[in-house]
Amino acid sequence: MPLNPEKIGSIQAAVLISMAITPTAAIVIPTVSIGASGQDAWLSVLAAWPLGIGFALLYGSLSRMNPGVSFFSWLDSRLGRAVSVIAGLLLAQYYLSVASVTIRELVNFLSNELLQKTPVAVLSAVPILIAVYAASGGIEVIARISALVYVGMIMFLALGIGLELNQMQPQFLFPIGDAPLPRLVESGLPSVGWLSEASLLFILAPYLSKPRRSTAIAIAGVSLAAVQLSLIVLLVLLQFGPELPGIMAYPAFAAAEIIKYGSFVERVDLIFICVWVATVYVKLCIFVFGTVHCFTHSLRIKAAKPFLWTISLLIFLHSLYSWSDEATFLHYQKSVSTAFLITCNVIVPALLWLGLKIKRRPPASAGESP
Amino acid sequence: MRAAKRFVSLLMLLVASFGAAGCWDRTELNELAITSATAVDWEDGEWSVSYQVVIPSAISNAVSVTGGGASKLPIIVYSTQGKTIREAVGRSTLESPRHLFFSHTRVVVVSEAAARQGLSPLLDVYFRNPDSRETVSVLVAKGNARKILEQLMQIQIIPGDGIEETLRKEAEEFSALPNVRIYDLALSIVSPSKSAIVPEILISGGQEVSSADALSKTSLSSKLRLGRLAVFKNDRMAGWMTREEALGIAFIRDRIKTTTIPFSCGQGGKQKIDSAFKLTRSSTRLTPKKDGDGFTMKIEVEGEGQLLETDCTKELSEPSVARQLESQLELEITDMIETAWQAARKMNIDVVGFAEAIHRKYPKDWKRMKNNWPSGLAEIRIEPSVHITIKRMGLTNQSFRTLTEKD
Repeated sequence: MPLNPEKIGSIQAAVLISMAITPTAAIVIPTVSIGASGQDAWLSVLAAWPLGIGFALLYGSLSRMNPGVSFFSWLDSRLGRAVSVIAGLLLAQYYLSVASVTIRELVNFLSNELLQKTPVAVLSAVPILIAVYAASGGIEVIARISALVYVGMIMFLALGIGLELNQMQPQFLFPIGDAPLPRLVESGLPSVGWLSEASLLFILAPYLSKPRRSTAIAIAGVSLAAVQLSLIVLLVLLQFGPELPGIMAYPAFAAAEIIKYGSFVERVDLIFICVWVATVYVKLCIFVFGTVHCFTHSLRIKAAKPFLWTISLLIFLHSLYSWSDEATFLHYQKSVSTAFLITCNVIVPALLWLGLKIKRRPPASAGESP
Repeated sequence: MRAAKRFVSLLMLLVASFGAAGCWDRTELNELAITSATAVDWEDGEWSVSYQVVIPSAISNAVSVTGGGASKLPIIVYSTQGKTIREAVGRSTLESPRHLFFSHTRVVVVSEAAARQGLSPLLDVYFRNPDSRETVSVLVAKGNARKILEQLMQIQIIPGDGIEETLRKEAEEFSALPNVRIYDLALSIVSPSKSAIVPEILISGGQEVSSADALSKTSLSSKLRLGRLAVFKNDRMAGWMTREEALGIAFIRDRIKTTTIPFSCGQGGKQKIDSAFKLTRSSTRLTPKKDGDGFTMKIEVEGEGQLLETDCTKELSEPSVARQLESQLELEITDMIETAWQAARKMNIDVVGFAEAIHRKYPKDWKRMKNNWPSGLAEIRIEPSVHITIKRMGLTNQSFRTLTEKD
């Protein structure tokens, strides 16, 4: 798939990175982190932030070496075809897997909270069709929509905080530092895994209008996500304390569910659900685009459209049949997901970085222009 | 070719729009039985769940119901039984043509027997199912909880709604009984103190008001009323506290919003209660202090308000008199706190929330103590200190008695 001559701004790119992290992390991290370290969970999320910035520096330094061609063309020119194809297929598999996890997360939520009788296949098919449509428009289209949804999300997050103020009990955060270090590490690891999704920068790099700002963009994206996640964990903790969130499937929405002012402001959680669903759609669009991009660029496929449909079908089937039930999916999210994310987003890029450092040679001038 | 392509696109759009018109989860309003209150009883080793279902068509005629005794009541109450709460709810389909819809439930009344059995199953139902909301207020009834749902209210058309409003107003304006919602109850039960308090609801008076005829009088033979405070240890009810003790607990737990305190303006001994004070702002700070192996709990209450009533012949505009009244009020509140503390100590249940205070300030000590809690509760000493300011004396600076007793 040749790169389209489309460009995205630095803010758009930072927002895209943040949107690649928060929609699913906001669901899983409060439960897992608070379950592991109680009232200190917000500290563990904050502790993951510097690590996320470390990842951002790694992604930034790799992206800045890229002269403006696709990540895989550049790898091809520096490390050879085999490395480029292997890395491409590995990352395509990563994007495909995260896209199907995203759909499954959305479908599980909708099935549990709202649409219990609607078949899972229908709930999965609708977002995937939208993601296919958006991905066919290219990254610039997704970036524009993402910025709009992001503004909405921030507004509603602020509204949520305002409405939940009367239920917050600051004493729930004390004593600070009560959890032992191993529990804090266990609590912070999922956040580390999610923040590593900033590796999206590799795909965004050739589309950046100011590629020199790659590192700053990655740091901004990671920081936005880390602040949002810390805020969400704090919100949940302040309302439900350190014990209850560990047994809740969706504590962030449960916090919105108990908003009540007399009998005139209540049951407003649906508004927040709508906003969250929009953010999940954006994340899905990014990862469907990412899967197709990695697959077609690493294999130098010119006609990407047929693969967009085929890969989307694969994502759809993957999300439907990879996890037989919710318990298996939860186990995957809690136990496997972090290791998988760190392998694909940290170990693979670190190996590539090492390879590039060892094999120092001037970058080949690829004829491809973004 | 182009026209054919357009036709196919249009056709696809049309087909897609058919799919978007509805989904599998659509619900027609006339298929729902909207519950305004639920009651949970424990009878013969089974859960009995009762539902106060709203009859929408009767609500529009509510004026005639409350005023003239029309035959149609705004609610209907029925019950189902089962080995689990949800099994009982499922059995409602055996006797009702409509699907029970719990999203508008305002209160859940639990019988004492069910509360003593343990509320974990009920909490699980509320947290697990999306149709039950955690904002529902919880109450305990001494006898059969279903009877509470059958009782009609005069001013509020829907009794469930009326009970919740009463609770809300009481918590705001009298503050002795807290408005405990499902999530509050769950939070209390899992807190370090592992205890909870829930208000009681009872039917006071004689014959129940459960028919339109009984409702069509200016004075009802019986009515719903909030009573004492049910005390829970873990998820099981362990006993009752009086409303006076409940007010003391509310002071200790910093749950007073507004309340009225009767007191005597005269000093020393048992004096006649002749004044009333409206506490409009109150805050309590609990500070545990290490005292050898045990702890002393400093309970510092600060409050302000206005004099509502007095039969005292003293010059109220004198600052020294105001100070004296304040110290009388302080004694009164200290007494409430002491009484509540003695009741909690006697029950050996940490309804006062000392465990949280110790955990927050001395986390290491708490780790050592928590396995023996609340048996260590009895060894704690309390040091209440109350500071009350009478901000306003009202619109007169002397009582009426000063005029009537003038020679």
